[in-house]
Amino acid sequence: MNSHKDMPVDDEKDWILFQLLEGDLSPEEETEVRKKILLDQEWALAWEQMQAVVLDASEEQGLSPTQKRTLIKSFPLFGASWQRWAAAAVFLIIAGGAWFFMDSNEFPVTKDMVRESQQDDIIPLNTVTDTLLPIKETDQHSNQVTNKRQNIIKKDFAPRSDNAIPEVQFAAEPVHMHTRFGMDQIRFPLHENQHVSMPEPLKVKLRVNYHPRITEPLVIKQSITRIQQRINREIYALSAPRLQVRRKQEGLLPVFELAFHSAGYEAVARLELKQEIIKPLNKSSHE
Amino acid sequence: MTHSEYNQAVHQWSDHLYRFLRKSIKDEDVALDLVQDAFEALWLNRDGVAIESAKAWLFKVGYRKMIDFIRKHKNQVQMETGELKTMTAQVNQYHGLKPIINQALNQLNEGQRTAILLRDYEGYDYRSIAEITGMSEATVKITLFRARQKLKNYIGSLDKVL
Repeated sequence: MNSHKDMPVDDEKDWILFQLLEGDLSPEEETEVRKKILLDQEWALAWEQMQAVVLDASEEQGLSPTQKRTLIKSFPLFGASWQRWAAAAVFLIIAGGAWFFMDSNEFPVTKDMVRESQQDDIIPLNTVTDTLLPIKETDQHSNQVTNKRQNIIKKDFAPRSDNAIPEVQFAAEPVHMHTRFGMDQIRFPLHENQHVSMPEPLKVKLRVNYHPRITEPLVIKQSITRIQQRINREIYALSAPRLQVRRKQEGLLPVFELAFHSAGYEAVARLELKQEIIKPLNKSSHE
Repeated sequence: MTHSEYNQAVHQWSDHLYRFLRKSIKDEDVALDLVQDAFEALWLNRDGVAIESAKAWLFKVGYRKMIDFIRKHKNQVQMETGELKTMTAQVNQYHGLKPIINQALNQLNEGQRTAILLRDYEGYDYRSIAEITGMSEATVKITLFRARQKLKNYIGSLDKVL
């Protein structure tokens, strides 16, 4: 058998059966080996044992969904730098436009939006009557459109006693001021009696329970990166959907600042590590 | 590799990489750390890695980090008494060859264990295993043979005892 020439091992039978298992034999060689397996009990037993040691990955457990989620990179709102600027510009335009209209206390009425109506039940807006254009009797389509618009005006904007233009109604939703997307301040339209709240970080002492099977002290023998990863995993397993872990260097000592949101509350914690510095022996001390 | 492709790689290959490292290191937490390290490295180097070669890249990085870890902690012994008791119970009850093969895997050295895990779990050929481990193809073949022979002889010795 040609495979014998390449055999750098002592056990010929095992080598041939290994090649049969790995599919490294030619068709003729394979036929020959299979005949031997059928006819020789020793070869048959050895072949059975060789096949039995092929590992099966399907029986092994993979990562849990929670563990896999820690590897996923979520998409940032602003991607590449030009996209970031474009998105920020669009956001500012929309926010600025909304602020302009809402803050100016004016209803954006133009001449084309209002037509003088011939119906008696329409309540005119006095301040815009001067700008009303007369409706042509032959313009039936305009009449229909105007009637519809006047009905809307009557329903939603009843005039006030002083005949001033009515204000646009805002929902009394609370405005939450916070820092997002790297912008220090976002301007929201504020009105009287509108509730504004600020997040109040709670300083709590975090106790992180590490896996009990770890025998060595984490501080000395684990790398800082590994500690950071373990903190992420442990707290993430507590169903905390958002965690920020920031590492700072204060002198020689690393410090972790953690902030996470879970079950409607926000917590900030500080984890300080003590590091034992082993100074190398000076040669002069031995002389 | 785009952002989406990276996340796709996480969904496709994180289980595979974890199984391989878990079986090699025999420590769940360390295996998780190494998986995170490997994917973090992939994220940082995503511009230079195509999605088609992401799996091989991940295994190469994961393998190297595993070797670094093993060499660094060579003198430390971690007792996983919980796991040992479970395995003993399974052998006594004889739930198939899986626990016996798990014990047999512990008899292999790092190279042999890596070669057989990459071959059987991931279906890599000799050339791919050589790329991941840095061995030559001929060395991979011999290493794989030695691994299978050891496992086969371990099972054979148990048969004689039983």
